[in-house]
Amino acid sequence: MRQLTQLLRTGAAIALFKTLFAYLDPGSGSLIVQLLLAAIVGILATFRLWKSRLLALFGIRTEKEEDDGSEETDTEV
Amino acid sequence: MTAVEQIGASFRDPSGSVFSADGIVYRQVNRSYRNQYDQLCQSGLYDDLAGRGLLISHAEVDHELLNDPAVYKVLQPRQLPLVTYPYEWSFSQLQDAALLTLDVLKHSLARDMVLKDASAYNVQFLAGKPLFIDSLSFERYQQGQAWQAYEQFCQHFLAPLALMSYRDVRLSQLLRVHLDGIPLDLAVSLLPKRSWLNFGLSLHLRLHARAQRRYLGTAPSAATPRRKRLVKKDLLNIAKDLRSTVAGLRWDHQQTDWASYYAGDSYQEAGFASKCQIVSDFIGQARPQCLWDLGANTGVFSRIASQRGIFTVSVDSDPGAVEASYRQAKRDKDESIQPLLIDLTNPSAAIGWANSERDALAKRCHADCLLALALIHHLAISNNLPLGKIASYFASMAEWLIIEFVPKSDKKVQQLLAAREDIFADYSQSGFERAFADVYEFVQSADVEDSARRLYLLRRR
Repeated sequence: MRQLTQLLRTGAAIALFKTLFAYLDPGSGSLIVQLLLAAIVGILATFRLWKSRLLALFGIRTEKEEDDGSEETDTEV
Repeated sequence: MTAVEQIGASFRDPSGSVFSADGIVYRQVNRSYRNQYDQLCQSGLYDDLAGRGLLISHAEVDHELLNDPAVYKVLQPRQLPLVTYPYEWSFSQLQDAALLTLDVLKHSLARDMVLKDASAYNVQFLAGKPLFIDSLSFERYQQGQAWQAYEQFCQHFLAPLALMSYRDVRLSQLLRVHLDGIPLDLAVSLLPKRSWLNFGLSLHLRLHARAQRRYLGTAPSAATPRRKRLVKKDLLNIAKDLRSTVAGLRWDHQQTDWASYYAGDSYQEAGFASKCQIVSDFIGQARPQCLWDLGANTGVFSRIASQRGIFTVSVDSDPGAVEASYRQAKRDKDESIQPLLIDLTNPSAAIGWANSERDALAKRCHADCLLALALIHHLAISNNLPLGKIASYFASMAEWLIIEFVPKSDKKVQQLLAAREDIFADYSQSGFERAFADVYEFVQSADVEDSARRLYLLRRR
């Protein structure tokens, strides 16, 4: 938790919280945690992208590259 | 002026409300929401979402409410044959509703809008597919903003799905108590240790719950001084990660008692064919537009009706049976069947504010015909219900009833009586006929071949 706080202190947001028509209480923690999540999932996305490029270099094609054309709602049946 | 009845669930969002008049459901758009509504339409987002079958379509209509200066538009959405709630859905139904919500979010962001809420009650099932029904959930996306509905999404969808997948599928019933979704601290305390290995759950539930606790009562701006803002790509990445976390959750529905019922030995082949034939004939005579199959199991007999295009609600209390039925409906692209998780001995009650936010099952049932096959012994013997009470409850639900009487000599009834005293002196074919004759006229009956069971077609007096 201390790490989380530190990360937020060093790189945090200002405009996170304004919205026009919010009637929900979004919860402070739920807004703040998105800063950290954005960083983590951003790194993951970059990692996946490089991984698929690297694999492509060796002629291995991954099932889904870059964007998930994974429209729409269907899951495995 | 026509009598307008406000829908009990529609009070939270000041952007508008839902009401019904002359049996038609309308959505009122308030003037305060005008810019947002106009953007939804003018940005092409409405056409995009409705065209893809993700958002309910609507027509703007002329209505006397428009004389009120606070009202901007009155919409008549496509009408739903049945409103259902997340605690009545199987695992995959809730999962598909979650994925739909994230897809709607993704398309909205592409047109500079965002979902301001992510309640599971914004999703209904129509023609076999989940459909987003709240046309007023959209607001303009502002560069730098976080997703306001992130907490709600996790509570309404991710937490119950994670618990159903990792702990026990019956935990979906926590949604009856927690109408705004399962609190994340509760979900985390119930998840088993092995769920730590799921990185998405660790982020969106565990880390999220800790942040909630840490920043409780703190203004977010006070906790986060300066610098970097979230950009749209960040929100898209979070939504994408949520999507893969949700889609990655699995539940094996074959573990439950009933999902494999027909693989058992209730009927010989000839008996099964004869029962199908009789049910089909009786449905042909009753000619319902809407049929509810009670104790439907995986919906084998429901499909006799749904395949004729009759809107069929296939009700069972076993999560595995409902799951199997929903998966089959998806595979078959059967648009007429709606599998639903309901325990008939304790059907959904009216709950929420003033007991009018979520309606009782009885208020939502508009069946013309009930199908109650291999059910009566469970109600009368397992649940000690007198036959007269069963008859009057069924008669309150629909005009027609197709019911199977299962005598005491039947193996299934013998199993129910195996460990208990037989206190059911009235439970016999003649006792059944006497009890049901009070409220029903006997139209026809037929014996099922190779079996001591008998099917009846009854019509309410």
